[in-house]
Amino acid sequence: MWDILYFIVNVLIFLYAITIAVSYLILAAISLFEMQAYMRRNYFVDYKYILSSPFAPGISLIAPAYNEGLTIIDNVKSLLSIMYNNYEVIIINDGSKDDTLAKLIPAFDLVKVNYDLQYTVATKPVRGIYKSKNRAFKKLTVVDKENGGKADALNVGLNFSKKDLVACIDVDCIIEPDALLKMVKPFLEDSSVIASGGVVRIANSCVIEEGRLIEIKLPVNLIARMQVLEYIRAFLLGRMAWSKLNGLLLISGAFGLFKRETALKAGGYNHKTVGEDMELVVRMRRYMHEQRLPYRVAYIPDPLCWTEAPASAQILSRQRNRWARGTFETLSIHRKLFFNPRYGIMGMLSYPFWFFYEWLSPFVEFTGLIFFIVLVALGKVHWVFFLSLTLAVYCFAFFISMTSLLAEETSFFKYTAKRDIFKMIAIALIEPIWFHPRVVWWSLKGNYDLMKGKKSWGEMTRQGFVQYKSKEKVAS
Amino acid sequence: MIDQIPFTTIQATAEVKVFIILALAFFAAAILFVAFILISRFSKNNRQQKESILRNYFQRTLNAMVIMETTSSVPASSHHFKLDTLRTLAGQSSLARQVMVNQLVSVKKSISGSSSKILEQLYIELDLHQYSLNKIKRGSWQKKAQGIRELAELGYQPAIDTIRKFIVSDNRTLREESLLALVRLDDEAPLSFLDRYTGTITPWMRINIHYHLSKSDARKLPHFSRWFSSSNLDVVLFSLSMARQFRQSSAIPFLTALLSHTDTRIAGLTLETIAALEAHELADEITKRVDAFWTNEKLSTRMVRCLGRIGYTSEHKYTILRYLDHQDYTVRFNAVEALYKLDDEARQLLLDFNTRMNGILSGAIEHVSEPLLQ
Amino acid sequence: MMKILVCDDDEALISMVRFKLSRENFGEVVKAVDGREAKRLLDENDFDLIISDIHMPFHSGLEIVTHVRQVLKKKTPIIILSAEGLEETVLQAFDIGANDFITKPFSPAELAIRVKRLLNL
Repeated sequence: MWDILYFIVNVLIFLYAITIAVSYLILAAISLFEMQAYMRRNYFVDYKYILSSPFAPGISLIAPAYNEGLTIIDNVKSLLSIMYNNYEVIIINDGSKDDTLAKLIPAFDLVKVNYDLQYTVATKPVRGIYKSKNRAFKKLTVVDKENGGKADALNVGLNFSKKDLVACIDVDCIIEPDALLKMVKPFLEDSSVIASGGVVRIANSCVIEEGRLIEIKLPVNLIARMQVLEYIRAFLLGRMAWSKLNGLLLISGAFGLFKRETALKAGGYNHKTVGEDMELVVRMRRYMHEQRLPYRVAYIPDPLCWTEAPASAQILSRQRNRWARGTFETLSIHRKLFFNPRYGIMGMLSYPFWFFYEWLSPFVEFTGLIFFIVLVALGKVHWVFFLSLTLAVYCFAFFISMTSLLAEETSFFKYTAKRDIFKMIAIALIEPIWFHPRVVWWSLKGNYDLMKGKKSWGEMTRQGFVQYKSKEKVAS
Repeated sequence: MIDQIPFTTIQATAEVKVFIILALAFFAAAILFVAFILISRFSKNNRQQKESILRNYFQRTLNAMVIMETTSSVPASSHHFKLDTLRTLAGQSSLARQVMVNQLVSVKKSISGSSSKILEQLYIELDLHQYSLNKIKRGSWQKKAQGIRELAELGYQPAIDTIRKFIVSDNRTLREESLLALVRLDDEAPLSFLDRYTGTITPWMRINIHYHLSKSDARKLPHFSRWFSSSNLDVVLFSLSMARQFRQSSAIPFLTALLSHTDTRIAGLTLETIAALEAHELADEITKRVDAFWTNEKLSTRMVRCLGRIGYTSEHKYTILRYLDHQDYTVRFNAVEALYKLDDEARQLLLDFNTRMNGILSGAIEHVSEPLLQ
Repeated sequence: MMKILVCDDDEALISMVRFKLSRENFGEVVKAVDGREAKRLLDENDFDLIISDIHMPFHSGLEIVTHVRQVLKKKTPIIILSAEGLEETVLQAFDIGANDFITKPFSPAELAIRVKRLLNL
C-alpha cells in the first residue's frame, strides 16, 4: 500500500516537473526568437508619424484613483504630457476618503459640467464630472463617483469614453512618454487586434521627478530587487511567447490598451473578482470566439510602464495573496474553456497552462515538500538522489533567469550600470532559496483565504513615489 | 520513463548521473549566456564610442558644407578638399559609411529647401548611394529594407526600378518599405502602384503614406477619385480617406455612388468625407437613401453627423429629427448635437421635440450646449 | 551680444542650427537636449530668443513656453520648431504665447530670417 502511494506521488511529481521544464524551455526559445524579430522590424518604425497623423485613433486613458491625494497632482501632470495627439485623460475618483478630489479641483481649475453619461455597463452612481477652465488642460476629465472598487471605476471610464481605444492604467504608474505610440501600433497593423498589453517594470530606487522617470536604477531593497528579475522573466520570456502563439490571457492591470467597443460588448470589467485585469482579457477573447470573429491580443515588449513594487514582505504577501485569488476566480468563472477545442489556443493551451503551471504549482510544490518531510521522518530519503535532483532544478532555474537577462540585454538593455549584471546574477542565485518559497506560501494562503470567502483587495500600504511620506489604502 | 523512477539504489545512481549532467549542462549554458552578455556590453560600448567620434567629426564638416554653400560663395577648392577627406574616411570602414548615411538621413528629416538638396548631392558624391544599393543586392531582408529606406530618405530616384521589384516580396517589412520608397521617390506618379494593387493597406501604411504625401508638392497629388471604383476595398478606403484629408473637392461627384456601397466601412467613410468636404450639393442624395442607414447604428451616427454639417433645407433637418428616437444612444446623441449646431431653426425643432417628449433628451441637450465639452 | 537658447533632442539638428546662427553673427547659442535642461537654463539665465522643439524628454516645448510666460513672466520671443504641424497644435502653441511656429523639415535660411525679425536686427 505504502509503496503504491509512494510510486504514484513520485510519478506525478516527476511528470509535472518534466512537462513544466519543457514548456518553460519552449516558451523561452519562442520568446528569444520573437524578441529578435520584433527588434528587427521595429528598426523601420518611425513613431513620430503616428504623432503628427490625423489618422491616429482616439485613445482615452482611464486611471482610477482611490486615496491618491499625496501624489495625484504629479500623476495627472505626467499623464497629460504623454506623446499622442488624439487622446484624453479620464481620472476616476473612486469615492476617495482623502483629499484626492479637493486637490484636483484647484490644481487644474476644474468645474462641474453637464455630461450626459450613460450607464452602458452598470456601475455605482457618478456624483459629478469635472472639466478644466484652463485650455492647457483640455484633455483632462475628472469623474467623481461613489466607491465601488477598481473594476467599477474602470467601467465608469468605459461608459464615459467616446474614443475607439481605451488605455486602462494605474494612476500611480510612470508611463513612458511614447507608450501610447508604441501600444497603438499593433491596432494599426492588424484590424483584428482587440487588446494590447505592455511590460511593467519596477521603479523602486529609480530617480523620479514630477512623475517622470529620470534615471533607471536597480532597487536597493532586496525584496524589490528580487521582483525585478521576476518581472523580466515573466514579461520578456513568458508573455512574449504567449503573444506569438496568440494565447495571451493576462494584460497587466497597470497598463493595457483595449478596443472600447469589444470591451463593452464583452460586458466590461467584472467587479466581483480581484483579478479583473485577467478576467476582462479572457472574457473579451471568449466573446470573440463565441461570435466567431477573428481576433488577436497583441503584446509590446518595450518597457513602457514603471510601477512601485511592494518593498516589504508583508505588503508583497497581500499582493500575491490577491493575485492567487484573482487567478483562481478567473479560472473558475471560465472553467468552460478547460481543454475546450472550441476556444482554440486559449482553450487547449493557455487555459490549461494557467491551471496547471500557474495556479496549481504552489500546491504541487507544497505537496512535494510535505512528502519530502514525511520521507525524511521515515528515513526513506535517498540523499544523493535528492541532492542531485535539487541541483538540477536549481541550475535549471538559474538558466531560465539568465535567459531572461539575455533577452533583456539583446533588446532594451535598461540596467546599464556595469555592476548591475553581477547583482542580477546574485539575485538569480539567491531567489530560488530565499524568495520563491515565500511566494509559494503566499499563493497558498490566497487560495485558503478565497475558500474562507475573502473578497477584499487587502490593505495596501504604498510608500508612494514621494518617498518620505506614506499613506494608507483602506480596503474597499 | 515511468519504470525508471528510482526505487533502489542501483537504479538511482543512473538517475543521479542524469541529474548531474543536466545540472552541469544548464549551469554551463547559463554561464555561456552571462559571458555573451558581458562581451556584448563590451563591444556595444566600443562601437558606441567609435560611432560618436565619427559622428561628431562628420557633423562638423557637414554643417560647414551645408550651411556655407547656401549662404556665401565658398571657393570650390575648399569644398573639394572637404569632400576628399570625407571620401577617404568613408573608404576606411563600413561603420564610417553607415554613420555618414545615418547622419545624412537624420539631418535631412529636419531640413528642407536648398540645404536639403546639398545633402542629397553629398550622398551621391561620397558614393554612399552605392553602399545602400549594395545592401539591396545582397544581405538579409533587414539589410535590403535598410538600403531601400536610405535611398528613399535621400531621394535617389534612379533606384526606383530596383526597388519596385520588392513590392511583391513575401516579407512584410520589405514590402512596406518598398511601397513607401516608391511613394517618396516617384515624383510623377507616386501612387501608380494602386492601379493594380491587390494587397492590403493597413492604417499604419495609410499613416506613413499620408505623412510623405503631405510633405510633398500638393499640386502633384493625383485625383484620388481615380481609385474609387477599384475592386480592392482597401484601395477604395485608402483613396477616400486621402481625398478627405487633402480636401479634394474634385472627388465630390464620385461620392454619390459610394453612398450605397455594400461595404459599410466604405459607406461610412463616404459620409465622413462628404461632411469634411462640406459637399452641400449631396445633402439631398443622403436624405433619399436615409432608410438604408437606419438599421446600422454606425452608419446612422455618421449620417446624422454628416447632415448636421451639410444640411440646409427643412427636409434635411426633419431627416435628422427622425433619428432622435433611434434605439441606439450614440445615434440619438449625435442627432441632438447635429440639430443643436446646425442653425436656429434646427435647434428650435430639437427643443420642440424634446418638449413634446417630456424632456427625454434634456440630458443630451445640456451636454451639447456645455461650452467646456466642445 | 545676444543669447539664444536652442532646445531639441536631435543633436544633429542643434549642431546645424547653432552653426547657422553663429554664421549669421546673431550671438551666443546655448543648447539644451531635453526639457529639463532647458528649464534649468531658462531659470538661471536671460535669453534674447528661444527656439524649441515640441516633443522632448521630460518637458515638452509647450510646457517650456508656459513656463517662460507664466512662471518666469518673461516676454522672450519663442520660436517653436516641430515636426508636428497639426492645426490644433499650432493654434495651441500661439495661444499659450509662442511667437512663431516652423514645421520640420525647415529651411535653415528661413529660420535665420525669422530669428532676425524677432530679434529686431
